[in-house]
Amino acid sequence: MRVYKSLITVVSCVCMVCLLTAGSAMAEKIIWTMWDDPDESGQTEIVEMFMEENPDIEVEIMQIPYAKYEDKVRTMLASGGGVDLAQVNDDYVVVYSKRGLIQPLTRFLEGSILKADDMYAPIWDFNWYEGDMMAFSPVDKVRFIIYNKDMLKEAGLAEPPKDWANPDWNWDTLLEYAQKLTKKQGKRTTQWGIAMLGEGGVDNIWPALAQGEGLFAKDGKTCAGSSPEAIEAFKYLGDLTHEHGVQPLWGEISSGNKITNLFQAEQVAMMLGGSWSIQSLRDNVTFEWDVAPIPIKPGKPEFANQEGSLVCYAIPKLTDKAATSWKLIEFLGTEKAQRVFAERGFVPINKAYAAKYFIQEGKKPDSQQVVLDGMKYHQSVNFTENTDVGKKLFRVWLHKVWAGEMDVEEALLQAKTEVEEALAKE
Amino acid sequence: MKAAYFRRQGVEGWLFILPVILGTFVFSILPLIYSFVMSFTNFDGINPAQFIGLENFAQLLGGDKYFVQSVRNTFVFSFTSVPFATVLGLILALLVNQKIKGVNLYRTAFFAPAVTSTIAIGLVWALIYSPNTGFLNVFLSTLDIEGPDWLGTSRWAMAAVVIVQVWWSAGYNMVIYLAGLQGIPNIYYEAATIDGASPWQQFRHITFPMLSPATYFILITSLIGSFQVFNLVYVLTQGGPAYATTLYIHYLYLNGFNYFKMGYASAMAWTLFLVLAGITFFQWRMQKRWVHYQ
Repeated sequence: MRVYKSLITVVSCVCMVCLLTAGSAMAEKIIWTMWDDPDESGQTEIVEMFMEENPDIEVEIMQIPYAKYEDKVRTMLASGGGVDLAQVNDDYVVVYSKRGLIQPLTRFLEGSILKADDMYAPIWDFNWYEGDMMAFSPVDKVRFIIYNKDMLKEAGLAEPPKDWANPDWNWDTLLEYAQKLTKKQGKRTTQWGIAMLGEGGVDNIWPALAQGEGLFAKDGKTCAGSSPEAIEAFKYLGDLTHEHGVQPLWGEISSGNKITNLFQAEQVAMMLGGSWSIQSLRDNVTFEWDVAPIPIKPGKPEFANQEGSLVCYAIPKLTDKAATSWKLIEFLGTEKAQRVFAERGFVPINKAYAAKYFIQEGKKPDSQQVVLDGMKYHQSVNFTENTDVGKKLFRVWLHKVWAGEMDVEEALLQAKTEVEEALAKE
Repeated sequence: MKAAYFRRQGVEGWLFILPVILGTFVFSILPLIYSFVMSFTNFDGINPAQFIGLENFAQLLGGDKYFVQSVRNTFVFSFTSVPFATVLGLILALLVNQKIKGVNLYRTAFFAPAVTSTIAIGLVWALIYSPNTGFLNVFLSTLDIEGPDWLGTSRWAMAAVVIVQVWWSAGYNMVIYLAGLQGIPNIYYEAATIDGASPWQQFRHITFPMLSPATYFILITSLIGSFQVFNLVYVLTQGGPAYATTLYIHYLYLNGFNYFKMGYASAMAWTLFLVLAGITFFQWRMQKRWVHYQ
């Protein structure tokens, strides 16, 4: 009798568990990893809309802090577990493709709503490797100068021009602004004019402003960041700190986050930032701020550029839910999803949606058109087989310059040898 | 009957420790064996590994200048932070071993860093080291000294990291020494006082020798620990500027997880194991000369 009672209890428990999990068992679940804050960047809202339209699919967003993202996601991609759609650093798209961590998406494009002609070409083209589309970037995080309007006003400075490639907004003007915005109290600086060095895009943007191409030459094998023009460009950046004293020391701005913190704390008047800063500044600061294009090298308007940071989403090679993940990728290109991204300061890859939704009336910054126009000046890092390692090696030497420990020419010529050795490796 | 009882007890005992044995085997022993095998391959963490013999080890010894720099950094870090933290731990233990008011508060305060997350410690110290607004340089400026860019320059970054490590580990060492101090019988001090020994002589000839087992324990564990420091450096400097504070484990991590050189990273891990085993063996052999057990 006791045995029967136990049996009935066990069967009842199993039935209850089955009933409770029946709802989730019906829906196919995919896991989407990202380092972006999904609430701030819009993915949470997009996923809700997606699941409403696709009740048979459940999407779980797994946010992993940026510092730990690569380790965790690479392990997941390699083992084939726990991720069906992954945010991939734009520097790693080629590496991941080469090593077979992510799968080609080209086969899904036939009959898809995603059409190359509708998109900003440099963004769309970036994710192609050996004839295959390996990832999709629904938006571009445009880079630009962000400035504290109140500080400019107090210093009696006019607001910078709002058109890219304007000859009046150049390195000399930027320095002049930074000098007027820097305040000292005895030996201590209480307000810095500008902060740029720790922002990841500066390494590619500045040489490109000077010579048309950034860190790596178009052949993908030569380190263009060590040319005489590039050396002059990097010298300009280092001099802002060590010669002119208008930029905080390297230890204080060695990452993009540190720069943003200083700006938000009103210790820096102008900074190099990007689309990712917009929502955060809207939410967190009370002072007036606006955006301006990245200043050109004097006399070189033809090289005006910004290296937007691309948000790339790829499907792991080992997932068995590729078709479902593609559905979500495709959804990211729909009008409603693109609108959500636009509302948060990211420029949609779809040109029509970007034009329709990016400018948000009544929202900061006042000069949103600067961000939208920045798309025309987007210039990615030239394609190489080993971009990540090349960048890391270059930065080892560049950081010696930023720290004021080495002459820029000497450092970058040494960097050239190491970088080109890395780029030569398949 | 008795044999059956013991047999049953044996089975039950094994069942109790089975989870630990399984866990150790799956999460420690198997990965150890796996990494040993991988150290002889070009495994990239994704594609099938190919046997390359001793190539990884040869590259470590001959062709990787950043590996050499990471080894040099680690030795500088370990052989400065460990002695300083040991001496400071001893001084703190001697201070909080006095009968003074609020001594428990001091003990807690000195020990607190040891139980605080290294990530949190790193973040707070990064603020302290901030060249323009950090507490340290603001304090130095009141003495008319222009503080350096602590974490931004190769010259100062390692010193800055060592200071934090010493501050973090001295409290733990203090507790070990305190236990040792309280285990020294008072009778020795009484006899020494009667013989007219000065406080310094008492410390030199009684306290210090009697604390030698504690010192030995601290040196062994601290040295091994210092070779494995990762979080603190990762948060404070990320190994920079320009590899100036890249320690052995950080470089191993870079190779394994950033450069797709898992085989090479495994070779580094096994080399570290051998070095640590060598240092520990040397310390163990030397202890006979200076460690005094009661």
